[in-house]
Amino acid sequence: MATEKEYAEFFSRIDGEVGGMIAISVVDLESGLTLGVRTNRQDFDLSTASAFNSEMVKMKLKTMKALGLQSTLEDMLLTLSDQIHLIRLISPTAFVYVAVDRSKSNLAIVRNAVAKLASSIA
Amino acid sequence: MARLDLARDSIVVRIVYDGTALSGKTTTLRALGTSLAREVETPAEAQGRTLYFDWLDYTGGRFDGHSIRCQVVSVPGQAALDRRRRALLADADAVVFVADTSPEGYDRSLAALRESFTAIARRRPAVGLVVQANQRDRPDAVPIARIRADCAALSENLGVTESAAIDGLGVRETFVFAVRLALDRVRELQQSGLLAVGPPEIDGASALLLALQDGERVDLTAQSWRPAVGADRTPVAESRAVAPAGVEAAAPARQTAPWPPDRSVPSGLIWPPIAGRIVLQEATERSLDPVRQSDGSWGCSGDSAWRLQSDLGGLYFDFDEGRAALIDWARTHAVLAPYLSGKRCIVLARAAPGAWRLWQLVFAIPSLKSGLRQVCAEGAPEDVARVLLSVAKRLLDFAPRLAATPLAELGTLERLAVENGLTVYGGLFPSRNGRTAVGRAEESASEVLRRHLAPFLSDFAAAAAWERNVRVVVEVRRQAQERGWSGIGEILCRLLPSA
Repeated sequence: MATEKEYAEFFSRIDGEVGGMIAISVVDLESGLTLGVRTNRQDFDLSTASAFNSEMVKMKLKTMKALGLQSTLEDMLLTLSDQIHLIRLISPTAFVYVAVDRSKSNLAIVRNAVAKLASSIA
Repeated sequence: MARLDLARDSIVVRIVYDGTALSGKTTTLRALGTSLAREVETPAEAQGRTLYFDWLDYTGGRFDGHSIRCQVVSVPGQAALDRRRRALLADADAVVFVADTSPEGYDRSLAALRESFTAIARRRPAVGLVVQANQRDRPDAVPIARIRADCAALSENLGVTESAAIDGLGVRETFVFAVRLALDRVRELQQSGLLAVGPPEIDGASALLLALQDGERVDLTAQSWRPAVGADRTPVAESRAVAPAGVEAAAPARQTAPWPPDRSVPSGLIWPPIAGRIVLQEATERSLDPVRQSDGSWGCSGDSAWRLQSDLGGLYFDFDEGRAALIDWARTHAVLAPYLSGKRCIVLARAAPGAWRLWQLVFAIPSLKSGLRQVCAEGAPEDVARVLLSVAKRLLDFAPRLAATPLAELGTLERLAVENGLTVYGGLFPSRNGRTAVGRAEESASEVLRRHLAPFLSDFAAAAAWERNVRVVVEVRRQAQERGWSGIGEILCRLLPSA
């Protein structure tokens, strides 16, 4: 598990590479508690979003298991009318959750940046 | 401690930060509070030292469709406050042991870690323990490899994290680790049906402070009844203590009374499981206020139709020990169930923070003696004779069945009763720790009736007019003959002095 310092560095680099970052967190999958957070918008309840997203990931993993899929879940992309949300698993027990402003970035940039930099905290 | 609070849709868990004095527990909690944007409350401090605890309440994450409410508490590390520390540890669902890893503090921390590990090792489901190796910012800190080896020597199941709490490093990671351990425990409690449901008993720092202070008062009272056994708090065997002369008068009663059982007692801590829950529900419709009895036990009856009782040895500071006692006592109850009145239950309930008390609740049904007394006072001689013969027959049928049980000596006219047409033992069940004689030598019918009825009939005869006594004797003889119980009739007539 990475340290808070490593998370902070990771968040800064994502913030630098991805325009319009709203918030980012590293989340413990089992508990839904955040291991590290950074938010650029105070009205965005990152803890709650992270917690509920942990349930979504767990549900997806359950679905895969029920289907007997042997694949690995890499990421989940959610497109809202004004935001893009990306969830990327960095270990079997944790994932990165990032929300960005859709008008200032695009799915490919966000996905690429997180995939590239997530290895520093995996 | 873990509970499912349906009203708030949350799982409530208690994470306790343990460690030696000045190891960095309060610093850790404050760093965690800053990280989670939550206030840390410290009810009492003296010169920067925690006297009771630090408290942090954080709701976040999700488990099993519910939010997770974490009551994060640090213990006072000073040796003199060890009692408080243990009381707080007793409610933990996970423990973070903040270890001072400076060269001068490490050995002391390791010794304390061993002690904490021993204290929680017996609890079931298991309470997870994570060691937060603190003060890693010091250049001379004990190498982490050595710390890991020392922890592994203690148990393979100890997690180890590194922190420099003063800089807030490693604190959040450790906290999340501890919450995961607590959730493991919740899962086990759920699977075994032992997860308590309802709002938490302690809902804030001030409530915990009050409960802790109350608990200390209860504990002090218990201590005064106990022989000197040093500082060891587990297990408590009050019944083996000899109450020193004068203690009874000095023992405060109501203000230090233990909490009586209530409806929030979780399943698994009531016997019989379903009927017992109904009994508890009914009995607690009115408040039960236990008071100290002359024999040192706690009880209440008063005007209530219920008798609540917990004997001197019924207090446990170790939950598992209390539960084992409950199971053991339930087994004895189950064996004797055919002889017992039906409306009763035994309950292991919280008596104070970190303390549990084993109670019995018995519905008070009219005894054989009360029925006899009533008819003797108001009834016609033929009614007296009829009831007297009926009671005598019941005694003769029931006494031999009780003879081989621990109820043999207790099954007296005052405690036997009729329920659904059957003779039953309606009194309080003998103490778990008491020295109740098991079994009784075989008695003749005459001996049985003499033992049970002679004092009563003697009083009755003395109080009644001679003529009435004679009429009762005549009626007893006549009715006994009619029923084919002449032998019983003769014995009764011999016991009635007018005969």
